[in-house]
Amino acid sequence: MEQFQGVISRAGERQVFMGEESMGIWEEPGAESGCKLERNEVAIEFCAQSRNESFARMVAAAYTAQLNPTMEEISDIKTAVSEAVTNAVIHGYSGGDGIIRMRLALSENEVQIEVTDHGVGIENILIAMEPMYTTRPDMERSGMGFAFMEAFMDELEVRSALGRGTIVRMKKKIAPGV
Amino acid sequence: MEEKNGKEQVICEKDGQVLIIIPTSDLDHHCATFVRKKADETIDRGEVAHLLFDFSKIRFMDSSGIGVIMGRYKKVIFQGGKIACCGVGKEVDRILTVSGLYRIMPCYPGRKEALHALKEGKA
Repeated sequence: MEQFQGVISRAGERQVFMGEESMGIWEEPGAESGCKLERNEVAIEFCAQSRNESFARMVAAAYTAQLNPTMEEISDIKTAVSEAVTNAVIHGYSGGDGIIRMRLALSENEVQIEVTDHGVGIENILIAMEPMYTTRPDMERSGMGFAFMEAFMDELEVRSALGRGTIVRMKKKIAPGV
Repeated sequence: MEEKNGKEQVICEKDGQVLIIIPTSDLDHHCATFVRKKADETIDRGEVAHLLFDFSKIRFMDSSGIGVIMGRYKKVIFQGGKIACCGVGKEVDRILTVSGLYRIMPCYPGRKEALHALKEGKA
């Protein structure tokens, strides 16, 4: 059984946990939900190319539109998705070939977004999350990716295994419209 | 890395000692590559002292945009150059605020005010 490390960040608190592969790191879409009527879920897969970043965030924005989000909430989601996908392109696959999978689920007033790559993985997630920390200063990466995901979403969970890949899960509550 | 559909990602204009950088497409990792390349063509020739980022044509920026601004800032600051921005919409404003970039890059409502401040050394 292969181990993975995980960090969950909620309301400014980060918790580290370890898990095993069977705990669902590579679980199939729909596995949790079994596509029940109360839970709606979609998934897309696309090549790890920078030109697909805008496509991914537009899909996430369009999907969340069902909950009548504010412009600001949409903007937050687009930024967070952009950061997660950019990380997969640049760090996960180092700009090389690869497939990124994005899963979106809605439950009541919350949107859940999952971005998965099968790239190099993260050695230490807590360190990677530190604002301004980057492994690619040569590419002028600002090191703000995870900080933005944390700032703009209500919950961020990262699971990673070296040489196997990374899963980023984010949740955001959408205030019910008036 | 040429865009196949030929869509312009950024426009650069010179106004005296100021290079005006106008991203015309969402400033993400993809667009950042084009902005960096195009802006550096002029900056590296030493033709300008200051930089003005005009964000009036975009409604989206992520941390890649922060990287591009910081990178260009480092290029001009050691020669006594300044940077400023203008035309900032709500979405871009949020990113610039959260990242703390306003501390190094003052914001002006329009291009005219920003150019004036850069040229008068007030930025």
